[in-house]
Amino acid sequence: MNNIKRYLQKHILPSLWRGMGVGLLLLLVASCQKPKVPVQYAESNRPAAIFPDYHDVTVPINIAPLTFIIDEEGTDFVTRITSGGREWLYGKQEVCPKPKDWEKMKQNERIMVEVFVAKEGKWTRLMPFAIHVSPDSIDPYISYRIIAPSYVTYEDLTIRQRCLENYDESLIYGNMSNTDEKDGQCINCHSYQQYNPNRLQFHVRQGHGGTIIAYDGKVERVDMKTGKTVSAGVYPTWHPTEKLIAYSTNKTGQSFHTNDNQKVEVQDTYSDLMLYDVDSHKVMPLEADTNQLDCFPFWSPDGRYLYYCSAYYEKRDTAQATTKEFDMILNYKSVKYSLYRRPFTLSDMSFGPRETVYDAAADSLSATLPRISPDGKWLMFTMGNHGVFHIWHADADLYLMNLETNKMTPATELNSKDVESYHSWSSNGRWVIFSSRRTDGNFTRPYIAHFDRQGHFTRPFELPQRHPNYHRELLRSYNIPEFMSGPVTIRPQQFAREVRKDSIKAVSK
Amino acid sequence: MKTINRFIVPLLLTVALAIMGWLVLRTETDVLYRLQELSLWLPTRHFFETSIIYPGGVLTWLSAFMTQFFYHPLLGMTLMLICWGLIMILLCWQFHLRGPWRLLALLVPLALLACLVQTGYWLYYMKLQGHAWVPTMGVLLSCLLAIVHLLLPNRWAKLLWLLVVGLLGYPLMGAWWVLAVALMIVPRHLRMDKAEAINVAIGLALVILVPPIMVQQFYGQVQLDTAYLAAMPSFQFGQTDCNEYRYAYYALASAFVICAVPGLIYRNSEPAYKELRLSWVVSLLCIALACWGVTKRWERDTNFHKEVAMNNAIERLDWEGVLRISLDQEMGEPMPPTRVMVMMKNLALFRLGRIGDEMFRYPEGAEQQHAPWQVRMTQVGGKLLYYHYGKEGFCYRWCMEDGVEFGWSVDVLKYMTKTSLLTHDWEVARKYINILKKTLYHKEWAEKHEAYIQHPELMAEDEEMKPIIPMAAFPDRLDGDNTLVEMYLLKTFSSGHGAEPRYQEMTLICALIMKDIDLFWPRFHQYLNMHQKEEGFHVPRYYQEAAYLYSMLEPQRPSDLWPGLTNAEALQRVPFDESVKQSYQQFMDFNVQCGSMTEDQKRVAFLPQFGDTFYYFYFLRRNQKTN
Repeated sequence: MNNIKRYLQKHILPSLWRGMGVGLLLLLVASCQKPKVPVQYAESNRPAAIFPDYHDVTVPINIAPLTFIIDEEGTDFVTRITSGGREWLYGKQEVCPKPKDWEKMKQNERIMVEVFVAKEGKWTRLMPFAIHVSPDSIDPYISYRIIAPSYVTYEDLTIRQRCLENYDESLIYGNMSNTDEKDGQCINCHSYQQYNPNRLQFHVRQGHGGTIIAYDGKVERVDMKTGKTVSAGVYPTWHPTEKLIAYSTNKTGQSFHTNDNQKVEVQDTYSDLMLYDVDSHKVMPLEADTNQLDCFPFWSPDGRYLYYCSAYYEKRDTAQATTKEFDMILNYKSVKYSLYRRPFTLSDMSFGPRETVYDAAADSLSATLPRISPDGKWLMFTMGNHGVFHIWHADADLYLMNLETNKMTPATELNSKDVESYHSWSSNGRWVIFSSRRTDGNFTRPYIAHFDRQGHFTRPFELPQRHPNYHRELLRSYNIPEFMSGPVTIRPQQFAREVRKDSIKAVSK
Repeated sequence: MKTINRFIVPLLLTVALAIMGWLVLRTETDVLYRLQELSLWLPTRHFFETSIIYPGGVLTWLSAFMTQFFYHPLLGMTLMLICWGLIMILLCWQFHLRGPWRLLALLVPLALLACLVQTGYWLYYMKLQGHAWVPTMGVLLSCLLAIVHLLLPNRWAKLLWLLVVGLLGYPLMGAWWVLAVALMIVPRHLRMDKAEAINVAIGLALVILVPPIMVQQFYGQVQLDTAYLAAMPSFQFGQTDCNEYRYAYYALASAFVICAVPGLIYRNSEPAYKELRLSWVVSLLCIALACWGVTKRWERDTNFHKEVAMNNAIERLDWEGVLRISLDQEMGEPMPPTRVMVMMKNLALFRLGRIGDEMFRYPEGAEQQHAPWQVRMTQVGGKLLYYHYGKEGFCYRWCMEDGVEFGWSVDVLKYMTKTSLLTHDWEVARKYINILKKTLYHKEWAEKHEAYIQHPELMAEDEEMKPIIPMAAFPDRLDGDNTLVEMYLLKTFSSGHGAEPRYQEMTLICALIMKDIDLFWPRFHQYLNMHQKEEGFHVPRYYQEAAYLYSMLEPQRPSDLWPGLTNAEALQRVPFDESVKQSYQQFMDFNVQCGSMTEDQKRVAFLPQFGDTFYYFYFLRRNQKTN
């Protein structure tokens, strides 16, 4: 043994170090070779296939570098990016501008991208494209839940925050910190009061179930289920100024398509609205009509109206339909939601009668997820042919309504042949982030688009990543992308501790 | 004597390793192959980064890497044996084992063998990435880190190395890092000197402090009370705690303690001659005990091995092989099959076009899987059955559920690819194909299926997909299986209607298995109409038996075959095989003879003569519990 030890120390280890040194030097030399634009090339009149697709998109002045991968067959690749008379060259299939270069590129309104591809020794220049830079900035942070698009099972769920100005992503809360094999935990529905990361809520289901509410440093877990509601609070919306959160309460079920790529139908058999007072822990149900399915509440920016969607569904008396759930499964295509609002009086905490905003059911459509722009002028919503859970409906698209003229138009620039669903306005109203499954029909990705004062969207771009292939490999979806004015500073471990503490029982008003 | 000991001990250890490898390969080849199918390793940054979000991520990443070599079970097992051999060398070095005491080093590979071969149904349920290799890699890395510590020239260098490993080892190796630290601080003498005492104190402090601090500061997704279980397999399934699976790990820990003892006693010296006999006896006794332990923990359940082998055979489209395995008497103790085995056998017969003549000629049963928890068909075989019977949505669904809960694997990605192709969900199929193209052994498979995106018409020529396409061509509906695969398939097919001959026959088979007379007759009628004009057409035996039995049971019922006649009248016009009529009559005569028997007694008495008849199935196979 001692001989082996001596031999290792004398001969093997020094050779190993020398070998590693030479290797590193060679690597360094190789990496210093600069790419060159080919002198001779053929012109192609088709745009370069790149992923993510950033052709002709408009980005905010403070966005992180857009990285992309060239989806062309070839042996060599050169990409030339020009902006304001300067150029940057990239010699790999993956194009990843450095942050300092990106800052320089963004100083001009238009960034031009030219892609050269060599195949069988011959270079081709594909049609150049532009990336437009808007002087309108975007909120620096977003948050989302990362979840696999599964149906019943879940394992590792996280609510995460991402800085849009770079690629930093961090955990807000992860369910595994309070999960074991005996007792799982689902987390969902994070929401903020006016983009404020210090005022947030999210739900924890199953183990240590309740709603986590953090308000200016104080964190508590609330059990909102009362005898007067079908469930605890589900889809939340914070009042813009008061310590009030409106929720829908839902009894939700799912059934599976035997042979359709939409895979699953998620339905509410009962749903209502309720108001929760953060200070007094009081719950106030708004109405309790078992046939009226109210969902996805959203406050108007002035706090005077509560917008929501609602469908009327009454169980049919047929031999087949033994329960309302089963009846709805049989007739799922006939469930149509329309948009409504109810005036709210803060002084006596009362709601007025409902007013129809858009009767989608009359057009045989189903409108959900009403979200009002911060200036109160625009209503954006998701619309499909039926149902409430549009993330599983390929026909779901985004629509825009001018609340001053009541004119409604599809958000054509944002929509694709696949799902567009959850959406959120930036605090300055100049950007929207929305969920789309346009890449592969199954995994939801966040897209961002500019919105001008005249009510026009630009072509959306996928959330940029440090490694452009990231979203192709990621077998999870982004859920509920929400803008934030800054990061949540409460650590995940602190949330985990709060989740384990006894909950506060909400009382019915 | 010294020379004999020098050579005979390594020889014995080598032979022991070879025997272990041979035993594993003889009985577990199919399981090893399935281990890699149920695992995934990708050479990408994203995969690595996803692996390391939990403590011990590098270890599990390495283990997943090694698991893929089980694609060739011989290669995978050889690599594992090499690692075990290396571990033994390092242990002898580490613990200063001399002479016959070196045999004790075999205790660790034996414990590792037990960890591997006890897997059983955890194969489908284990969440730990690369779990088959984790113990081996954990031990090997610990030993290597400890040997570096041993090789370092002075105490300050050793202390520095201890600090480096102590502080950085936990994120890399999880709980296995405790072993590495323990090996570094194990005293060289029974009486420690001051330097060793400091070493031990620092090591213990690191072991106590590092995991809680790391979890509090860096791992927002880990519970404090599970910090010391990172990168260890969890043998808790829901509310069921399967402690017996931890025995192999306790044995592993004990093996290290046992190996440490002789070193403490005989450091730097050969055992004296008079103690040689003692060392042989003690070492061989320990090994014998360990071998006994391995045999106790070895999962030998016949049905488990048959299920895995049948699954592998189906994926090779070796339908005759499936039937051979179903009848194989040499795979272990004979026992009634599980439902999934029966269903895989029926699938094979269906693919071979012989189900109507042979389905009851094979073992029948509803044996529960040999596991301490309720094994579900959705995890074991269900996805495969859904896929082959054209229920693509449900196959995809359970792939997704399993991928999420038990981790992504080659197996689920392949099924998700195939179901996506069959349902023309091209882009998501491309996503899974692109992932599979990055694997070491499944690139070719992925490229073959990638061609179907550009040329969907090629699927109609694919040997595997060709018979599935017509099975999947039915109108969509919303549905749910409540995790009961067999019941769902039986119910949906038996109530289904279709003009496609294979699909139609399946509706008839399921109506027959469901023993539903009202569903049977129209499907039997349709079957006859579809096929009776075919040249050489012969109604399969069990369809005849069912029709004959149902006619006899309800003679006055209006015939579905001949409108206007009763079953009794129609019977005279149907050309039933004489053997069908005879076996029915014999069955009924025997029933009269056994009139006083209970149903359980009849079940046994009728089996030899009538076990392969529909009559037996109808009257005496009842209340079979599916899972």
